[in-house]
Amino acid sequence: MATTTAILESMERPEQAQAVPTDFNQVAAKCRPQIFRFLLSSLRDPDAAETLTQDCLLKGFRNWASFRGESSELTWLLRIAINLQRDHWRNRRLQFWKRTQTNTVDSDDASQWLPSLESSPEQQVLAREQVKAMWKVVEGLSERQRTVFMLRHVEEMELQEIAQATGLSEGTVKAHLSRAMVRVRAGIGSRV
Amino acid sequence: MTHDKDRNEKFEQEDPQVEAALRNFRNSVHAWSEQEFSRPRAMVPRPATWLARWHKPLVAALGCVVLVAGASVPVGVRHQHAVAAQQQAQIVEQQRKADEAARQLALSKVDDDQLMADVDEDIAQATPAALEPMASLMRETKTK
Repeated sequence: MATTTAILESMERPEQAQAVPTDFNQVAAKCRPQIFRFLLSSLRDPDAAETLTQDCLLKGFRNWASFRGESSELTWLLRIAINLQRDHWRNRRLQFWKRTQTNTVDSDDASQWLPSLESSPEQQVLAREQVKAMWKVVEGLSERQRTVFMLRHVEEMELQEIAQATGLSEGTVKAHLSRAMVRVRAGIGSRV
Repeated sequence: MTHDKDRNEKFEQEDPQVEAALRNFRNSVHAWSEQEFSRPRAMVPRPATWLARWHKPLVAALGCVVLVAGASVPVGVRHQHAVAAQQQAQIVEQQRKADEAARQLALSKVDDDQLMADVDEDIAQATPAALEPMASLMRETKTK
């Protein structure tokens, strides 16, 4: 998925950011991998992440006329994705009496995914342990803390962008991130 | 802006162990996401639920119920109104007949008395001149 990295790099370049594409197809193609990744890391359910990504892009397409360019297209779409993800959790909580089919991946399985870095087997094992511990910590975070944490440390977004995407103030984002990091430090420290 | 960035960096300064864990976690999520994103997905048709199976007959049955109710309710109401109007007319007729009978009875009573008075009057008027003093005496006793 070298194209994803290239797209992300191009989005960070200011001269590219100024040339706002007006065609929604271009925006969707550019932002889809990152929206999918955010939803996958938040839900840990590939099928639900795929469905919500489609819903997010459909909603974005319908409301594309209302996009005024106050934030980047990705931030705008991520805001839609965050709302959809929140609705998804609420629905699952309300539908506890229904027989819902979920494909949520266990944290042990999720931690198996490591890029094929040229490192020693010991380092690989250590990395896997760290990732496993991190998933355990993420599981215990509140919905907002998890969203802010994922946007900051997985999507590597700036605090201001996170504030725009979540609709929170920058101070609140910092507070959520700080609380999440306290738990991460405690979780990592106790494991390693 | 640079001041803000410095402050953010200061705010997020981590020890190397946590930094490494965060980096590994990020790489892991990216690798997983790329793998899942490029995986072809087969569309699995959802098994039909009881609602999906009975949807058409239920809609048809409900439609019939609504149609019958829509047709029968106005007819029933109209019939009820007609029966009520008939009953009301009967009551009014009976009342009218009773009133008429009472009026006739009262009228007949009044007529008899009047008749008797008239007869008395006529008799009194037809009193022969020879019996006039006696008749005047009778009138006086009546007035007393």
